[in-house]
Amino acid sequence: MNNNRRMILSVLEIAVGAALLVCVKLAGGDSVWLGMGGALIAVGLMHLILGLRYKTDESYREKVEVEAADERNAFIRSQAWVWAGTGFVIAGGVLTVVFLLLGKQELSTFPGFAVSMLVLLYWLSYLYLKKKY
Amino acid sequence: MKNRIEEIRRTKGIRQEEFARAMGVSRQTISSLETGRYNPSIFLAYRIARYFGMTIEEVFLFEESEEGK
Repeated sequence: MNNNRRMILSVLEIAVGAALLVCVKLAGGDSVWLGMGGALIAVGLMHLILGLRYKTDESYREKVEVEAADERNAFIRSQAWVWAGTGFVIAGGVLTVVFLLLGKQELSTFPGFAVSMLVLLYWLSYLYLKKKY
Repeated sequence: MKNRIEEIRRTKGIRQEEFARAMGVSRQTISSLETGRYNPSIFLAYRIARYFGMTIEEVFLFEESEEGK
């Protein structure tokens, strides 16, 4: 995503966060939604500051571009996703079994469903990539 | 995979930062390559060898026992 588009998104994040804060306050305030509005504003501000720095600071821009294109970083990112996915499947499977053993069948459906969806997505991706490569 | 990147780089008097910039990668990647913690793609290996004016086989030391690791 180019920097200008990213900065426009940052401004939108701030605007949505501010709108959420105002609407929730006017409607009588719920701390969860207030928190979300505040978080959106904070994240939007951070993205905006980084975007401005990218625009004005040449050495920072060069560093960001090198880090983004660096093949070792790309490898680390994809390997981290592999570990996260594997960890999620194992943890979800264990949680499902634990809930079943504790007699909480309704609770066990949540991690069970999440793990099933992830495994299904994995196999669909595998079949597609096998054809592609 | 073992390699002679650090040895060749030092012989030619090239600093890690300068080498990283020439290769379009981060200095940390060069460090990982030199210590053998990371193996480069064929494209990066070719660019490194060409930068030194050598062949890939002269820079990277492939051993049969490494296959399948």
